Amino acid sequence: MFLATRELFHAKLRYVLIGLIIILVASLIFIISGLAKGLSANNAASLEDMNANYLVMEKDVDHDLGKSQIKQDQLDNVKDIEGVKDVAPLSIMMTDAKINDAEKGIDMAFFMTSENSMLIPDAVEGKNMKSKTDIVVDEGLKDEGVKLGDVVNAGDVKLTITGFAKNERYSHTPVAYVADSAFGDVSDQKINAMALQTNDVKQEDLSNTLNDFDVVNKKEALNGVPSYSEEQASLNMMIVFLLVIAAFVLAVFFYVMTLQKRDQFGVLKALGAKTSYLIKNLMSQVAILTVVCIGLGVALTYGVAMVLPDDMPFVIDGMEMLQSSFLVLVVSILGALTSLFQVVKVDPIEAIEGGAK
Amino acid sequence: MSLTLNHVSKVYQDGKTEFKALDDVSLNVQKGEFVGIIGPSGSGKSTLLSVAGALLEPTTGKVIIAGEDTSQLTNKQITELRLDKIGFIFQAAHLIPYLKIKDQLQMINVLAKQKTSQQQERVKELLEHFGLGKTLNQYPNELSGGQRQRVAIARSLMNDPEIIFADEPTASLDSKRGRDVVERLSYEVKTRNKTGIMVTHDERVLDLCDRVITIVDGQLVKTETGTVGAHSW
Repeated sequence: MFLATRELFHAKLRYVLIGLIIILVASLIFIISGLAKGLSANNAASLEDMNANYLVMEKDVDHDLGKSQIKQDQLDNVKDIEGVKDVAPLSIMMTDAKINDAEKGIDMAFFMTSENSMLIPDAVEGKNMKSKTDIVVDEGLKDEGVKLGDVVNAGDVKLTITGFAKNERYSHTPVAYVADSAFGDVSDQKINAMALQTNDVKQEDLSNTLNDFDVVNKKEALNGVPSYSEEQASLNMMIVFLLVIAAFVLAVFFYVMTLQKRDQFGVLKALGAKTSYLIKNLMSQVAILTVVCIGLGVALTYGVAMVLPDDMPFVIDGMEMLQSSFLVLVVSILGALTSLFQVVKVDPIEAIEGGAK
Repeated sequence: MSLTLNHVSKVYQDGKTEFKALDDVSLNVQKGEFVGIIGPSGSGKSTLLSVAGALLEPTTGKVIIAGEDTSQLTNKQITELRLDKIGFIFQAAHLIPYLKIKDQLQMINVLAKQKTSQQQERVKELLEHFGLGKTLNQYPNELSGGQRQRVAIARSLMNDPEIIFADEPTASLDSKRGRDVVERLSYEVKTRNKTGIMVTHDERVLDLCDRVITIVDGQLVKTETGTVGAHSW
């Protein structure tokens, strides 16, 4: 560390340049992750945060809720399976809802479930649903001018917005929670899925019991949402490419820098420095530099998040940021590892002019 | 005997031809002795210095440094031997550009895993002794060539070595400064009872050596006693 820190402070410009690369790469990765997370929430927050562990869907519909069709009466069979705490029907209807007889409708996703279902979120504004024609909708609708007490026309049925809930979206559309009983007797109609709340029970065991159906966890359900996995995959691909590019750029940088220091390594070795000592110094230098720069990258990301417009889908997830940070550190260290060979190869005799023939 | 070379040869393979950089060289140097090695370029003087300084393994023969037969040591032990028993002064001083002058010396303690805090006084003393007291917090590029070479001498003394090897220490200096540096080196070798070996092509400083060895084509051809230390030979 004696050499590492002193060199860092002395050759500032050089390390500031590498540092900038690391800061920018780290920030870009954080920002893209934030965007991916934000888009994911914007697309399907209602599935992500659903108060259920599993969805039971029809087989062979690629986990796509919209395509799945299940008979309502299956709910009774599922209720009694061991480990199942609660079960609720779920049907999704994309609709162009007309509010207060307005001419222009608003796109909404109706999440239809039983009247007292665990799926219905608590209202953060207004009241929870009381009667079967009450609905709770995503608070993002407020930006569209929707107010508490507004009436949504769904065919012949008039639904009253009694509450706003936070982050309720599906397929990039605000979600409205609607009691299925609002539409009369539904016992003979098909539903899209059964939502299960379970105790400690494995997905595998549930699948075996419900072998006529697909038992889908949240992640699988998310990937079943049309466009969801494509969206995420393209952003994740950017992150992977960024990491690979960073690895190469840093490797080249460290390599050239180490190459420049060959003479010094020769002198240090002649003076009695062990190769392991020099390697330790090089690696700690890279580690210090990278950790500091990742820290600055985190700060930069929060700064960027503050100036982003509110309606931009952007969510910073601490855990994910930690993971990305770790990846950047690994990439940086991998880059530096390619230079180690240089350090090992230097012969102390290079310190003596003409000594190495 | 502080340094002994016993029938040492160093052969380089260049394609099919062999090149003998050192040809059956035997040499004994005592403590307190300051030996100059001269010879035309390509004569093998750098190779001799490298072999004697345990930087290069001889093809045949034995090198005994401070009582240790280097052929019996592992690479790691040889590195430690250099750290403990040998001081080097290189042609262009070879200071580490990003270390302050005091840290150039402190580094030797770090390499030897000694507490730097306990050595601060010694570093200061050594540098003051060499008239470098004011440069403690300066970087090498702020010093003159002569000052840098004096730092290098101070650095070579930091580990209190038995033998000091100097590789053309005057090469980058004008004749007056070069002579100052060699005088200094000779003085330190004498007063501290070290062994000094200096490779040089600067004949004007040879009178400061106890003994001058001429090497031609890898063979020691002539040994002369110098004017200063005639008593020790």
